[in-house]
Amino acid sequence: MSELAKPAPGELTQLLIAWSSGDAHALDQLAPLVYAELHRLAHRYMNREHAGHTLQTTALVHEAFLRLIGNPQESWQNRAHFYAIASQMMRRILVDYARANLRAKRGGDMTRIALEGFDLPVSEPALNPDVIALDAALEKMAEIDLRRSRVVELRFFGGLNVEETALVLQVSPDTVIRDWRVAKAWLFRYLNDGR
Amino acid sequence: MMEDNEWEKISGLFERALELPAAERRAFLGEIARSEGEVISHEVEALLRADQNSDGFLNSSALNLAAQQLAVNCEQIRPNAQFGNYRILSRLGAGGMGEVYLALDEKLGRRVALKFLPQLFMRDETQLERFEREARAASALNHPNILTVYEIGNTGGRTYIAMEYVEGKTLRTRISEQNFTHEEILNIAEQIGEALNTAHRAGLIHRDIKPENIMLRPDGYVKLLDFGLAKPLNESAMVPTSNREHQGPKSGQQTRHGLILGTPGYMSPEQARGEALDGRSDLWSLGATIYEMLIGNALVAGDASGPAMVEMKLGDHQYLFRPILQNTLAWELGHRYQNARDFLAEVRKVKVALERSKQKKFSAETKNVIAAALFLLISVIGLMAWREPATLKPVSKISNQESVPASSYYWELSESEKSAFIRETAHNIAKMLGENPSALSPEHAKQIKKHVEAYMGKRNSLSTAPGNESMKAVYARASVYAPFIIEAFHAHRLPPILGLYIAMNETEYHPCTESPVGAKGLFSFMPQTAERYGLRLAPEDERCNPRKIADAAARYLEDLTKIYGRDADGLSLSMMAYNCGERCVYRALADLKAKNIEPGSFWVLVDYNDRLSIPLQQETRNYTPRFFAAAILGEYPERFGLEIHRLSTYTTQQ
Repeated sequence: MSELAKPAPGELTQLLIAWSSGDAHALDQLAPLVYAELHRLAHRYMNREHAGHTLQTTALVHEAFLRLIGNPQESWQNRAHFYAIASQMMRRILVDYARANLRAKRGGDMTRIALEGFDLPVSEPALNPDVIALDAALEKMAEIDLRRSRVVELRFFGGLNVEETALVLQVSPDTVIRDWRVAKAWLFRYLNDGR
Repeated sequence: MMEDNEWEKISGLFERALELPAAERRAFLGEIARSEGEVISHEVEALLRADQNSDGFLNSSALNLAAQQLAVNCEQIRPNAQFGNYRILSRLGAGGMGEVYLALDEKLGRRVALKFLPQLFMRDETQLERFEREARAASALNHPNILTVYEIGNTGGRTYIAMEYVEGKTLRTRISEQNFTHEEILNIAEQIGEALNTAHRAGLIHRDIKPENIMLRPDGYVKLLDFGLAKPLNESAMVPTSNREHQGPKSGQQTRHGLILGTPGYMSPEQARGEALDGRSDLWSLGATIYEMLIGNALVAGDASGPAMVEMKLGDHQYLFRPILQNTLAWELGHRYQNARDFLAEVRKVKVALERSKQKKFSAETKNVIAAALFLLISVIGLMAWREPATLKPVSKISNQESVPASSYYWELSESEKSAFIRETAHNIAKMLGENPSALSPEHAKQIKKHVEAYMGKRNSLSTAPGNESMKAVYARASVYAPFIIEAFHAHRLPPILGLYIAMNETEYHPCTESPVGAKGLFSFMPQTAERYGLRLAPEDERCNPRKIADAAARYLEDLTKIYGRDADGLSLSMMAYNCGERCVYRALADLKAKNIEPGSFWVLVDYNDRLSIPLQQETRNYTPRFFAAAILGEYPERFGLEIHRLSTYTTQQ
């Protein structure tokens, strides 16, 4: 009998299940859902009253993830599994998105109309990783340290908190916190020193 | 590339270094250099340096960073930016498939709305094509209730559609203000019906009718926006009743990979399944929109539709809308209006009836009132018929309620009285399940109590969101399907209340008995579970057939009782296995047994919770305790101020 007797609610679940069982097309259906959240967030950032309020930003992002990855109230079957797949999905879609953006920039055919008056909460460039490079670094990391690379996947791409990450990896929250610190140091070094 | 074990060593030392005060780290590195060599110590040092400099690194999620970047990109369209003849004045908002700006057409001196395709999509030919199709489709339609499209343009690498600028508000905004009169609803329904009639006859379906896509002008005109998802109706125009064979193949879909476009909640069942559509799909979406104006809440994506649902939600004074809702929100295509004209005819008929009923409102003897009363009477008789499974024998004793102090409401009790009440009632529920249930400890009661109170908090909820509905709505669903559940569980020698409360527990999160989105049915079956129990998923999803799903659920539970037993304790274990899978419980019990803890009752898992895996710890605190909580509210509704019949009364003969 199936371990997963029933799915967590939501169409996203269905698509994620389809994707994780090899249906590549499911990703095409998932991408618009992620893009929709992306746009929603971006619009909120453009709304000046929200700009710069870190707390509010955190809440907005949390809200976006909640809509994408679901309600933690659900019973667990699927929850850990679901988080894991959802994080992989986010990684794939956001890296693809970054690649598409890069192509557009290289095309260089866009008219830039500069205007003042919009303060956006953009992080400093050095601390704002290039998602494509990070993805590659993470792949490297997975070769030597799968668990820690998954911590990064779950937290950075999947937006999971420490407890949720611990649930997925079946380790203690303390371990997640330690792993996260080690992984960050490794990645930071890899991305900045090229090794 | 370093070796695996080398990294293990480095990361271990790095973690140890992190635990040291900063001042002692240098000495520690020296120690490493001596014992492990320079290379290793150098690596650890580099990591420590990175750790110090990386404050802020990765402290935001990828989604957030992408959104910030996108925000920067989007800012390129600013006031006074020029696109062809158009000068941007301000941003109006974001619609389906793009950003909309108010602009001035400097040549003609009129204000227009400019809709820009998001840059992300401009690189995708399919999306670009869809965007252009929107423009072509909508510009081909000339109707006062459809937004006029002027032209499609491309300037500075950005594609846009110039269209009529409508001052007013969206129906979404109007819905949030509430207080619709029935006239207003009918008026909006009529105008959108007219727009659809024209579009459908021109071979176009809208595919995304929803309150966001309907604009209300102050002068009373209603405009349908956003033919963004429209596609020509080339293969099947309005299909006659008899011809329902087109349900299967997806031929003629212009969407890539069967991509489903539309908005959950307004999507017709066939649209959600990715099947070929015709105008009747728009009529469903329009029905969902009317429903929302009338009820105030959106139809839940995947909610039950059809007579039972409409019956349940419609207030007595809203009976005039009954035919409109039933004939738009019908699951079966053949049971819907076959075209927008039929819909319009009904809307006009209702308008006339409403007018008349107002004129005669002081005369108690009017035909309308009699008709309404008759209709209500018939409905009540109809519902009673549902509720009398006349051929069923009582299979479980209703527990003796005298033992529970029966005076006050639950919330009036002291904490210790509450716990005692929970223990006692839960024990009664366990006895209803089977013989000799294990005694419940205060800890067990605590787990159940938590869920009882969570349910209680939603007692009068107005939300229709999964998990937040009022108890009454959840309860009503379980009771409407009670006859099927009772019959099936009875046939498999399982206590019917088990089925009823599982259905209640499940429908809380899967209110879809006939889900347009990934049908799951009353018992939330996964496709593979459904197939194993002989349910077909296509052409009709049999998980939505109450008789079949109830039977399958009973058989599934029967199989589980073969492992866990049929007594009260075995059934609570089976219930848990029903939710998390046969093996998850089996393994947990085996683990406990290995530690010399005798399994037997579900509650043993609660007692030894700390020895279980984290997910299983969560699980033991949730599903089965929640079942008991649902049953306590359902069996002692008067203690919670709920005006409902006890579900177990459905299992006995009158």
